[in-house]
Amino acid sequence: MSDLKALSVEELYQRCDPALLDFETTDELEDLSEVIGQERAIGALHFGVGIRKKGYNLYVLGPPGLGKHNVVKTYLQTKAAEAPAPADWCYVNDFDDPNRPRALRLPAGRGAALRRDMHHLVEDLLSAIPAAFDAEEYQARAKELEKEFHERQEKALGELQERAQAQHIALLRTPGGFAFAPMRDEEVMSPEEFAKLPEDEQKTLESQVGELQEELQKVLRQVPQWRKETRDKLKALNQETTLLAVGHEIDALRESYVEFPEVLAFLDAVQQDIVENVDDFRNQEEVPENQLGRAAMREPAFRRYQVNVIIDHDEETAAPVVYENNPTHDNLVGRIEHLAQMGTLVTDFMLIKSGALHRANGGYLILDAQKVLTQPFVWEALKRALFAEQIRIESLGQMLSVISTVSLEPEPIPLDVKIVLLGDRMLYYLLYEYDPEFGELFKVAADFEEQIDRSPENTRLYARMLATVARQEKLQPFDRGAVARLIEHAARRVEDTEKMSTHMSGIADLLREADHWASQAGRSSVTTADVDHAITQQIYRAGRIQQRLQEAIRRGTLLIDSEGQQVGQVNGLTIIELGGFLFGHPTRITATARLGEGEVVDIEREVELGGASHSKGVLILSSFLSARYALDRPLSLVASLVFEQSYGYVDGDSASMAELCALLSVLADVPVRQSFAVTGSVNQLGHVQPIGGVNEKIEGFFDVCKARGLTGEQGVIIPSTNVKHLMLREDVREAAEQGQFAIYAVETVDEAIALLTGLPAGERGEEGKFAEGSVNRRVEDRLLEFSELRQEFGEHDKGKLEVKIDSEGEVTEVGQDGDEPDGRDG
Amino acid sequence: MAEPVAVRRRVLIALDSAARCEAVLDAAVRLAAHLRADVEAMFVEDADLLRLAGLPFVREVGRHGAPRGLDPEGVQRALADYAAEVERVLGDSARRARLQWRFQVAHGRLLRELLAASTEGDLLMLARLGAQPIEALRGAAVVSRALAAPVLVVWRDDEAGWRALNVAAEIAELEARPLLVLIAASGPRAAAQTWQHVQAALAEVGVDFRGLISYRQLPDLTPATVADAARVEGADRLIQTLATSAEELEALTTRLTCPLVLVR
Repeated sequence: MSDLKALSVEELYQRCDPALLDFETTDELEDLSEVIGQERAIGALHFGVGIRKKGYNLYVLGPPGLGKHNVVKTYLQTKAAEAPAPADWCYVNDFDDPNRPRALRLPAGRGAALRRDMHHLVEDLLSAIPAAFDAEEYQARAKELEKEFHERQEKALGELQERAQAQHIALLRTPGGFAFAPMRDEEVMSPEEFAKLPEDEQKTLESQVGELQEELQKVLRQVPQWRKETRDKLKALNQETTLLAVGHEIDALRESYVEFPEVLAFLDAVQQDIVENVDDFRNQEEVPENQLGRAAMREPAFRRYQVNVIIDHDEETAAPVVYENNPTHDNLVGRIEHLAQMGTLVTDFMLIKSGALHRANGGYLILDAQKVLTQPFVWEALKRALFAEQIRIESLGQMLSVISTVSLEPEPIPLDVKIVLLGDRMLYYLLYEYDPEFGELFKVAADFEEQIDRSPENTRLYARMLATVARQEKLQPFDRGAVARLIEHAARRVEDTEKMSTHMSGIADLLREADHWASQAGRSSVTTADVDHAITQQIYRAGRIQQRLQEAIRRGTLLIDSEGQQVGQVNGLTIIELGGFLFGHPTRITATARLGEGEVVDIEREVELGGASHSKGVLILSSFLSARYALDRPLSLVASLVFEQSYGYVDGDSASMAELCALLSVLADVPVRQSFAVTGSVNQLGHVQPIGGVNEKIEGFFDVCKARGLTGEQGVIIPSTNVKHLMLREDVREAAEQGQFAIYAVETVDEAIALLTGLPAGERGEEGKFAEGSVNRRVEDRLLEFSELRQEFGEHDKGKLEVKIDSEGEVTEVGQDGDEPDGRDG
Repeated sequence: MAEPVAVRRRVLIALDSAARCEAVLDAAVRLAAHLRADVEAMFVEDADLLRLAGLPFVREVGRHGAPRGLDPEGVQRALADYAAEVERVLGDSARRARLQWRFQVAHGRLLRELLAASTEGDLLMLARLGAQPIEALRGAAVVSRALAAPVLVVWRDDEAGWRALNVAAEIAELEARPLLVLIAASGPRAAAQTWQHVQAALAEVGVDFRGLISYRQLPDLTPATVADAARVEGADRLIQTLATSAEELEALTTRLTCPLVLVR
């Protein structure tokens, strides 16, 4: 018999009294700007953001839905507003090595200005340079050079021609060059006339012509040198003319950027390049004035003077706060795009695109840890950038050797950014454990609480937070009854009467849905009924499997008794979480025991359907039995425990009390009341320990009983340490109030077995024996019987005979080792 | 646009083995089409060149200074090939312009053969190997790209000179080229006065060049000075009256680096 009292209704639910809320609706409440209950995380955030040292990046821990992102972003934006906009960054051509574009740093807004200035410079030069070369002065000087070149040739030829004429020899132009010919009467001497000449004269003529030819050869061989000299002079003239045209245009730019030495160096390089490639400007087709700019941009030759402003903070006044939703490698560190031209891929500095690190440079970058880790090469790239404190754009294709086109190596850009990784705790601890660099780079952990104390002060703040969300979401006001119900639900979510959930996403969902149902009902404010309806509907929508399980129990497919008595059979309670929905249901636990060597067999474990925690719970039972009943002799039984009709994975030790009760029942040969369900874990001393999901478990058994009709005998035995977690459904509370369903809180397994069997558990008396007729006495007696039997078997046949005790307490012989004929197995 | 100053029956062009016959022939055909005249080309095999080739000891020195032997048959063959090429180019160009055309091969001196073949009313063009420099300054882009090579005309204040000016104006306008008038004057002031006179006269006959007409003062109009000016200005053509001595014309053609148009 047990004199344990059922828990009172007040103990089953910790109400939030609406009368304690000093408002009618949430409209009367002020917005809440701070985050409640996250002092540790916020403190860490302040610290991490405030300390501008290498490696002090943040990892914000906590499960999804706590509102980490909003909290972090809001705070960072506040901090960022106190800082000036960081520098603009541009990439420009390196005229010495176009494959290595140079990075230019300019104050915010000046990058775009430089881009415009260079654009205008090219436009201006497109007209200024041709004008300079068309000018009279240049034309005259160029013609003079040309004339000089021609005169040099003429003079040389003329002198030669005069010498030839003196000898009656003419210099003739042939299709392929020149030739000297003896003349007679203003005409070239014919071959016949030549043949008629005396031999001496022929030889003299031949000799004269030969000498002249040699002289001519000398003259002609000098021409390339004269040409080179003329070209050099012309080139110098062109450069001088170009400098005149370009110089004052670029000088004006130099004045604008006088405080930026890198820009001045770039302008010097531009000027030098224009001088060397002035023909690009002179050979442009004439285009109408209004199309000049576009023509310039179309012309690839002028791309090299452009400025690729990859980061433009024009008109920005604060440091950037960037959230990269898709942190691929390229999106993070930037990329180099290519264009297909004539069947090949080409690129230049204008095709360099910025990444999130560039955009956040000088400010803050928020990243989702899981996305960073699941995108190829991103984690390594991020670490490289943080270690090196610079952003180096490297083509992934190039890095992996999958692209063999010519690419660029842009000059790295110095990196000064605070990275805030958002992620769950598991990732944080895994990273900390397995990546030694993680701890060096993310020195600050901001750990968000999932629950806060349900103190009066916090309750008031919580109400303001609900009001804030309602206003932000443009919902109808919530009356105080609805707010009280929401606070109660927040406690139920964390299974603790003394805590409230900080899972903002779930709470906001409930607010929106309650608002929807209120609107459907035509109400102008949200009431308790709407919140209740929203909760019921959430459960209903998610509860298909729960309903199927309940139905299977009701129809007898899943065997659960809710009345009567059975030896070695106890209703255990399990919980299932699917798709974020948690529900409990009873499951039948049975035990058998037989003579053996002190082993408790966990059948779930044997078939690999049980987890380690579950196995631990079962092994504890073995220790409990030994410690309590077999201190002075061997524990001589083999017991088997099984979750009947369980086809899935079972873990946790919350059924260990139920398993122990089933085992004690079968050993004591005492039937167990099936109107009870049991949950709780036990230690090897028989003390009952708390478990999770207590509300869902109780409600799961209650639903079974309710469907079959409440008898007033039914109830659930729970650990007393779980009483503070009780936030039970209203119908359970009503049944309890009416005496139709009871919740018992126990501290020891003895209390539980007394409730279940109706017999006293029994304590050891002065003689060290348990009281006669008690459950413990019966168990001890049975184990003593096993021990003696085992001893007997050992004397006869080394204990090879095994016996089984069925649920009726009958001892039967089940087999004998060694009954195989000798020699069968060799 | 100026009206043709006289009815021309024929544009007669004489050329020797000068390079780039296409451009010269094309210009002749365009001019003929403009004048609604026939076009006739005469390829003149240079007698001196053929004789020269027959001399056993003479060698041709290439423009780069490399000597090589001259073979009479080879020279003859090359000239025949060139003549065939000239005929083909002329034919193609004239057919496109729907013009009557003729082609003949002569043997002798270029200017002499041209004058011998010409009749009253012909517009004469002459393109010869002449006094082209050993090497032109190519690729240096000396002359502005924006300005096309000008048409040069030698100004003489007589009837033939006026005709030459009118023909030059027609050609320049037809081909959208600047017209540069070469004026012999003792000083800038005299040149400017002459130029005003010329401009007024041109305006009277309705020549309008939208500013693409100018003049160049020369100390004299000797063949050397004129040829030099043509070369310096990068002339496309030089228009000159035929009313000059044969010696002067011969001297001019030997020095000139561009085709010469002779106006009777």
